[in-house]
Amino acid sequence: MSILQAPPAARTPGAGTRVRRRRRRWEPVLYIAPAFVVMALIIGYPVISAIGTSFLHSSLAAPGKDSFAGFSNYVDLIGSEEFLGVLGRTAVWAIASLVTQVGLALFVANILNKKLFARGFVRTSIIVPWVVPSVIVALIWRFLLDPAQGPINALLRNSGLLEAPPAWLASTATALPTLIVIGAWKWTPFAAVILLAGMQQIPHEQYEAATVDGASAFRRWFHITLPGIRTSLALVCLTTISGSINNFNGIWLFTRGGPVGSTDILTTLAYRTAFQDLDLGMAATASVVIFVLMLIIAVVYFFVVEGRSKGRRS
Amino acid sequence: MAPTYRESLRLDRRRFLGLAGGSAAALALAACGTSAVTDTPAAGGTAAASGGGGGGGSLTIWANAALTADKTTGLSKAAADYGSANGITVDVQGIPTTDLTAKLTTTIGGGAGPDLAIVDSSSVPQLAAGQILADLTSRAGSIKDQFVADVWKSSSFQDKQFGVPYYANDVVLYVNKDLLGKAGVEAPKTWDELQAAAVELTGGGSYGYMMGANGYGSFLFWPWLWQNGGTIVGDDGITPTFADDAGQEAFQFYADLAIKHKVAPPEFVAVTSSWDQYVAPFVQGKVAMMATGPWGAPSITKGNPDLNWEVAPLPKGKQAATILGGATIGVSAKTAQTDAAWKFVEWITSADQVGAIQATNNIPGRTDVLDSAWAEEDPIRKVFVQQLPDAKARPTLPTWGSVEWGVMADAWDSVIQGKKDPATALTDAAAASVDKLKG
Repeated sequence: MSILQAPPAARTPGAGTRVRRRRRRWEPVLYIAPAFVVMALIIGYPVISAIGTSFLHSSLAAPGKDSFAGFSNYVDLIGSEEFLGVLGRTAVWAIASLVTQVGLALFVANILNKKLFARGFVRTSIIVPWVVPSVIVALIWRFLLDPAQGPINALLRNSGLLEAPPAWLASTATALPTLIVIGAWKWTPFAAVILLAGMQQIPHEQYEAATVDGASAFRRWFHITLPGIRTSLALVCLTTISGSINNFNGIWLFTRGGPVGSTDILTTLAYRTAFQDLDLGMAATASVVIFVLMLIIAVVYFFVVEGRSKGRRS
Repeated sequence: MAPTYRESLRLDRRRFLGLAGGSAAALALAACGTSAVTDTPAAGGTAAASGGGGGGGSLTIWANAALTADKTTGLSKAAADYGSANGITVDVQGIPTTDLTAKLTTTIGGGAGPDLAIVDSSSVPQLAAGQILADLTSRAGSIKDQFVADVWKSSSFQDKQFGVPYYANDVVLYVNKDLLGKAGVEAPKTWDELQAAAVELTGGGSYGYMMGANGYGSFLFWPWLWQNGGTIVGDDGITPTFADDAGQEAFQFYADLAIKHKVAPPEFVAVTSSWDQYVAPFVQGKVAMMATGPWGAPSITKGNPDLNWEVAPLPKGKQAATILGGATIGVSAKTAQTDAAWKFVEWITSADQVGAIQATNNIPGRTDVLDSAWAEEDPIRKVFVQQLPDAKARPTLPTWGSVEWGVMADAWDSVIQGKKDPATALTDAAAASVDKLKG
């Protein structure tokens, strides 16, 4: 180690070397600068603008008449009756989506990782729900769940399972659970593909060795598969939970937050506040709350996952 | 169209395809260069005269996608006619109603967007206050007298004119003649008759009267409120008054139809996203009566042309009243072509262009047309025209949507979901509306 450092020689270099060294230090920065500047503008400007707007009384109905609001938007939002309900519902929505989507994805990925008949075809077709545009997903499911004409309720009625099946998306009791199921239908494939990729990276010899040692299928899964896909699993959890908190289409296209607010989450609240109440300041405040939530989740991810893998490497 | 903040997704897809085709065509045209389009009709006498107004020689119009669904008739045809007569390209683009106001706000607010827009008249206050539509007061003065006063006013905000009525409409009672005839029931003329007929016609898988959920339910409550002598807001224009005694009585009557007499099919609670959903049971011949505007008719003529139906004026309470709806054509506050745009506005709202709207059963706001034989030509049109004097406009406030599709929609949903009794729900809604209406 000490030989490689060679400090005295580095401290008294010729002028040319110094320039070269300095250039070497700055060159990479210059290479990434254009991309960095563009990204900073595209991502940074809206964030900063939203944070700025959240401290203003700003209305779409009175453009150019913004006034400084201090923290009053935050006080009003957090103090409002609906905010706690919406925050709690966002948490239920995000956690339930996480559990159903990642749970199902683990199951699906596990099956797809085995030798199956027409495995390539099955693997490809399973991602179909994920590539279907949200608007089409809404069309399909709203048709399937239509209380009068939909096949799902017809099946429930005709099979005698339920005499009077509910209007799934139009009842305060069933709307949110129904949307969680639809979300799982759409997003499980994505999570499953990532997890499957993780599973395929695990060397097959490990399983063979474990089998020779007499490990049960459960033990093999728990001690080889699960640790092997840890990084993919963490990534999938992060994208699923942040995706759910941000999932506006998955609610708006079905219920617009109704009935009676039973599916209202932070994103639908922000949209309604901006385009129905025309209160841009308050809508920006709700967006900042979403942003902070995301930031917390991202920071936790980096500390838990990235931090741990760095520790293991050194 | 009336208050279709929420349009059918089913329609949206159809329109989306139309739109995609439309934009592809527009791209193709753009690729050809405008000369190919504008040069051909240059022989027309008026072409030279109008050439100076546009400058660029093209106008873009955004309209509710329902108006542009058919490229060969109506608005699209009229715009093409205007274009070839005046040597100008008029590009009509359909935008789903749900997105139109928000899209105009963000694009024109940002200095882009179309030169003209045809919007639901109920969104004029919001677009006017947001400086999205241009103030046309000085130009519009010359044609003001050609329009019915209330209809003209529906395109204004705070005594300034932000557009010209493209068409007007009102809510009428649709009746299934077969179902009524079989039961020996006449089209009801009073509240009592309506309730009795609806109860009589309910049973054996059929229902007497259709209702909606969410904003569809709150929208269709206003006629009963007005008929009972109630008002939505007080004289100051912003204080909610719809939960006073007259309002409570009307709301109770309206809610009882749904929750006490159960005259609507149970799936009405799922009518939350389009008028297509609302009219479907009537189209299928399952429901005998429904209240809606002319936008209910296309579903019937397309979905079940054999249905034996007609329209009648809404039943009367203490007085006759219905909802005034319609569309306004306005000019972007940011366009550089205000002169050319205004010329088009004058042309498309003239009596000669009534043909472009009559297929939709909407009616013009022009007195010359409404007083002519045109109004009597068609039995359905006749009822819409006949009811127009009783049609009242909803409050012209930028934040009106947050009451009709927000607090009142929630209040109605909480009644039909059994969460609140009608009186409590209405009182709470009025209290919650105070701040919303202040803006």
